[in-house]
Amino acid sequence: MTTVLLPFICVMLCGAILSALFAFNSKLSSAIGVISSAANSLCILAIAVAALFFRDDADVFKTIFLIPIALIGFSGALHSIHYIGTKPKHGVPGFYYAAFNLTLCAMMSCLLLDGMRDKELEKLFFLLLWEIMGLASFVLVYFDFRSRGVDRASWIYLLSCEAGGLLLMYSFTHKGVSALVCGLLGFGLKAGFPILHVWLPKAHPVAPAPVSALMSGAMVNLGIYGLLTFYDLKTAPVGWTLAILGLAGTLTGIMFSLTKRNIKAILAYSTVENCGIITLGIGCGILGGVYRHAGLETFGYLGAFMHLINHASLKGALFLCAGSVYHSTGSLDADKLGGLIRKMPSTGKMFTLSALALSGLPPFNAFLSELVIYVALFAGLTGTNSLPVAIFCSAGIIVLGATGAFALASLVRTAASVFFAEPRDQEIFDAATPEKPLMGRAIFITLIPSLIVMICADSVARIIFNTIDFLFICDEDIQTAAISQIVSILKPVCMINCLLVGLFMLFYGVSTILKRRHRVLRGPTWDCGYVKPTARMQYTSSALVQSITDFFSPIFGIAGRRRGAALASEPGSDIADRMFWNLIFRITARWSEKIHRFQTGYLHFYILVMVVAIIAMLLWAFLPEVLK
Amino acid sequence: MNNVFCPVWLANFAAAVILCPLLFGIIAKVKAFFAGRKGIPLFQLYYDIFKLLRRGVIYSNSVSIFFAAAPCVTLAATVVAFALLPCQNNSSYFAFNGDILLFVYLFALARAFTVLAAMDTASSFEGMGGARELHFSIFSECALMTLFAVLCICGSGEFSLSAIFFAVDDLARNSGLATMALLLAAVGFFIVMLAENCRVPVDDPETHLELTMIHEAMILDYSGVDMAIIHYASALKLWVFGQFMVMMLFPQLPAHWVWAGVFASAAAVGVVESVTARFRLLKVPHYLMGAFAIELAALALFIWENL
Amino acid sequence: MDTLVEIVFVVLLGINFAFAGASRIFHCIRLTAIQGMLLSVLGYLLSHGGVEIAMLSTVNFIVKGFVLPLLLKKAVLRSGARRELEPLAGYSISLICVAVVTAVAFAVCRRSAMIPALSIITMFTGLFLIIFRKKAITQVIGFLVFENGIAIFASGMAVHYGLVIELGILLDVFVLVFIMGIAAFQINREFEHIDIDRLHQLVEPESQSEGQSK
Repeated sequence: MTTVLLPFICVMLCGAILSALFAFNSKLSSAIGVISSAANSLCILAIAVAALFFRDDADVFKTIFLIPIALIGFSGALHSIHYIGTKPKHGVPGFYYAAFNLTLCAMMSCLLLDGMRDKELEKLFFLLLWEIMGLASFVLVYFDFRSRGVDRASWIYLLSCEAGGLLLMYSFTHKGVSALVCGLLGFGLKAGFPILHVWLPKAHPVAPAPVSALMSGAMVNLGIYGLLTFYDLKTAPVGWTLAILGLAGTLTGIMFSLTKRNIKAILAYSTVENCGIITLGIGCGILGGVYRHAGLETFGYLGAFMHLINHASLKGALFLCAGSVYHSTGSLDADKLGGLIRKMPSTGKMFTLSALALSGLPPFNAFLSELVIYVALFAGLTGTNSLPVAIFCSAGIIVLGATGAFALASLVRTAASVFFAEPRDQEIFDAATPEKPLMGRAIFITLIPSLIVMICADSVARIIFNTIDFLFICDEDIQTAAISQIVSILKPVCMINCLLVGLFMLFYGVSTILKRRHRVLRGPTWDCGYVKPTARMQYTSSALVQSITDFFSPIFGIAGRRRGAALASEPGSDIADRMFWNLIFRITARWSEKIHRFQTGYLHFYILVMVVAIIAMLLWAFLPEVLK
Repeated sequence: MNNVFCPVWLANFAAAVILCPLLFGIIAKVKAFFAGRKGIPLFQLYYDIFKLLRRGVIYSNSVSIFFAAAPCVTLAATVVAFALLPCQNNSSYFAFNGDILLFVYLFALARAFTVLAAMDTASSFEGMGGARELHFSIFSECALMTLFAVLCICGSGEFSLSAIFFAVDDLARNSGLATMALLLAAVGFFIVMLAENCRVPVDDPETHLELTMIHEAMILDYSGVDMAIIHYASALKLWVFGQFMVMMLFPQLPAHWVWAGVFASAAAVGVVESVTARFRLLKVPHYLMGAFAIELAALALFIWENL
Repeated sequence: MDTLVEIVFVVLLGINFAFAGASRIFHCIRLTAIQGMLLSVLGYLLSHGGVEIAMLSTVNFIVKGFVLPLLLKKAVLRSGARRELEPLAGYSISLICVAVVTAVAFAVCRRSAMIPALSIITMFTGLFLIIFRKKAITQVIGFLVFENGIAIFASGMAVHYGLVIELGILLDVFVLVFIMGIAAFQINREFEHIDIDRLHQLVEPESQSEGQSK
C-alpha cells in the first residue's frame, strides 16, 4: 500500500512547499494548499477504503488509522477555506496551509513506514516523522499567535510534543522494561492518557478548528497505533496498566469537562474520555488474551477500534461545528452564546445530534461501539474464574455507566446552551454572521462514517475484525464463534434502532396531524406566569451542571469559590495539574534557580563552560577505553 | 431476535399499552385512602389524555424543532424499551444478547431530549429542572449499571433481559445466597424506580410550580398533544419499571399475575408516597448513593458466589 | 425456614446501609430497635430450638428491641440535642465505605460463612458510627450496633455460653447504655451541647490559652 500512496503524499508535500513559497499572495497560496490537501486526502481516503474491502494482509490494519486522517484532512481543508479565509486577522494563510499539508504528510507517512527491511532504520524514520508532525502541528496551534493565551497554550503543546519525542527516542534505543515504560509515556502523551492529558484542554481551544479536529480525531489515535506496533503489549502487567489507565481516563476526562465553559475545552476533555474508552477496550483485549478469555479479548479489541472510528468522525464534526460557531460569532464561550440554531440551523442540528451520539445514546453509532465494549466486560464478568478480572469488569461496567451519564450532562448542556433558547449575550448574537454552506458540507462529510456505522454496524464489525485478527492470542475457532456472536448482537440492534426511528417518525407525524386541527399558537415562554422573562434569567451551560460540580467540588478544586455562590469564570482546575504537574514544575524551578547562577552574562564564561562540558563528555566516552 | 410467534408477550404488550394510565389512578387512590379522602377517579389520566389530545398547542417563541420532537422521542424510546421486556415464559420478540444496555440507554435518550427541550424554552424553571435531572441521573445510572452486572451474573453468560429472567428463576430455586442478593438488588431497584419515575422521596409530581420539582419543571411549557404524549410516556415508563421489578422477583408468573404485580408495585409506590415526605434536594444524591451501595453489596455477594 | 433466615439476613444487611445513610438520631434509634429484634429472631432461627434459647431470645427481643431504644430516646429528649447527626464523613462516603466493607467481608468469609461476614459488617458499621459522627449519643448507638455485630457472630457460630452468661452480657450492655445516656445528658448540661469533638477543649488552662493564641 505504501507504494500506491507515496505519490499522493509527495504531491501533498509539494503543495506544502508551494503554498509556503507563495505565502506573499494569500489567495494563490490558499488555493494551492486547499487543493493539494483536499484532493490528495480524498484520493488516499478512497484507496484506504478500497484496501479495507479488497485486501487482507497486515497492511490493512493501518487503514483503520489512515481513514480518520484522510477524512478529517479532506473536510478540514474544506472547512479551512472560510475559517482561515484569505484575509485572516493574524497569521499568514500560506504558512497555515503549508503546515496543514506537512502535518497530514507526516501523519500518513508515520503509518506507511512498514516496508523497510531494517527495523532500526524504520524506527529512526518514525521518530523523524513524529517530530515533523509535532512541530508542524505546533505551527498550526500557534497560528493565531496574537490572540490572548495562545502563547502559553502552544508552549505547553510544544513541550508535550518534545517530551514525547525524547521519551520515544530513549524507548527506541533501549530494551526491556524501561523502554516499555518510556514508550507508554511517550505515546501516552499523544494519546491523552490520564495525567499526561493536560495539553489537550489547553491546546485545543486556541488552535484553529480544523486543526483541533485533526489533532483530536486522528493524531490522538496515532499514539495508540504506536503502542500497538512497536511494543509487545501482550503481557498481564501491560494489560492491567492499560485497563486501569483507560478506566481513570474515561471517568476523570468527562468529569473535568463539566468544569469548562469553552466549547473546545469541553470537547478536548471529551477526547480524553473517549481515548480512555479506546484504551479500556484495548486493555480488555490484552487481558482477555492473557487470561484466555475469548469474549473479553475479541469484543474488547473490536469495541476499541469501532470506537476509534466513531470517535474520529463525531469529534471531528463537533470541532468543525465549534469552528463554525467561532467563525460566525467570534466567541467560544458557551455561557455567552445561545439561540444560534436560528442563525445556523444545519450546524446546530448536526452539533446537537453528534453530541447526543458521542454521549453513547441509541440509535447513534457510538452506542454501538460502547455496547461492544460493555459486552466484553459483561462476558469477562460472567465467564472468568479470576477475582481481579471480575472486579475489573464490574468496575468497568459501573464506570462506563457513570461516564455515559456525565457525558450526557456535559455534551447536552453544551449543545443546549450554544444553539438553543435565547441568546445570552445579545451583542454577540446580533453580530453573528449566518453559516456558510461549505462549512456545513464539510461537517456533514466528516459525519458520513458515523452514518455508515449506524446503518450497517455488523458488516463494519466484520471488516474491522478481519483487519485486527493478528492481535488475538486465542484460537481461531473461538474467535470465529465470538465474531458471529457479535454480529448476532449488532444486527438486531441496528433493526431496533430503525424501529426506534420509525416509531419516532410515526408519533411525530401523528402528533403533527393532531396539532393541525387547531392553529399552532406562538407566545412568550410561560415560565410559571412570570411577566417579564429576560434572557439573563436562563440557565447557562455552567449553571446547568453546577449542582454536579458542587457535589464533586473536592475533586474539581472549587474550594476557593463559596459553594452555591455565583459562578466563577472557569471554576475548578484539573486534578492532574494541581496534584502532579504543578509540584513537578515547582521542584524543577527550584533546581533551575541553582543553575541560574551560571548565567553571568559574560560570553567568555559561556565558552569556558561549553569547553569544560565537551571535555567532560569526551572523557566520559573515551576514558574507559583508554584505561583498558 | 427470535421469530417465534409469542401470544403471551403480545397480549402483555397490548395490556400495558392500554392499562398503563391506570397506574397513576391507583397511586392516587392509595394516597387518597391514606389521607382519608375519596380521591380522583381511577381513570383520571385517561380523561386528561383525551382532553389534551383534543386541544391545540402553544409554542414559545424561543423554541426550535427539538422542542416539538422531544415528547415523541421520549414515547418512542419508552415503547422500544418496553418491547425488550419478556413476559411469562415468552422471551421478547426483540430480545438479543446485550439488550439490557439498550434498555437503560433508551431511557437516557429520553432524558437527553427532555433536558434539551427544557433548555430550549429559555425558562429559568425548566433549566432548574434539567440541572437536577442531570445531577441525579448520574447516581441512578451507576445504581442501574451495578444492578445489571448483578443480573448478568445471574444470566451466566447470557445477557438479554429474557434469558436473564429465566436464569434468575433457576438460580433462586437452587441457591439461598442468590435469593438474598436478588432481594437486595430488588430493594436498590425500587429506590431507583422511585427516582426515575419522579415519585415522592425524590420528586413530587403534585407540586406544580414549586421549587421542589424536577420532571414537572422540565415540561412546564408543553401543552395540548405534546403534553398528552408526555403524560402517557411517563405512565408507560412506570409500567416498564414495575414489570421489570416483578419479573426480577417472580420470573415465572403467568401474564395476568404480572399485571397484578405491576398494579401492586404502583400501590407500593402510593404507600411510600403516603408515609414519607419528599427529601430535601441535597439529600437526594445520598439517597441514590444508598441504592448504589446496596447494589454494590448485592454484586459482591454474587461475585463470591460465582467464583 | 431457610427463606425466613435469608430475608432476616438481607434486612440485617440493609440496616447497616440505613445506619450509614441515616441523618436523624431517632432514625438511628429506631434502626437499633429493629436490628435488635431481628437479631434475636435470627438467633432463634439458627439454633435448634429449646426452651432456654427461646427464653433468651425473648429477653433479648424485649431488651434490645424496646428497653434500650426507649432509654436512648429518653436520653436524647432530656439532653435536648438537635435531632440531626452532624456527620464528620458525608453520607455518600459513609455508604460507599459500608459497601466496600461488605464486599471485603464477603471476600474474606466466602460463601460458607455468611453470618460471620454479616457480623463483621455490623461491627464495622458500629465503629464507623462511633468514629465519624459527632454526637455523644451516636457513640452509644455505635456501641450498641457493635455489640449487635458480636451477637450475630455468636448466634451464627451457634456459640452458647449458657443462660447466665448471656444474660450477664445483656445486663452489661443495658447498664452501659444507661450510664452513657446519663453521661450524654451530663455533658449536655455542663457544656450546652453534646458534640464530643469539642471535648478536646477540656485541656489545661495554659495549653488552651496557648492554643487560642495560635
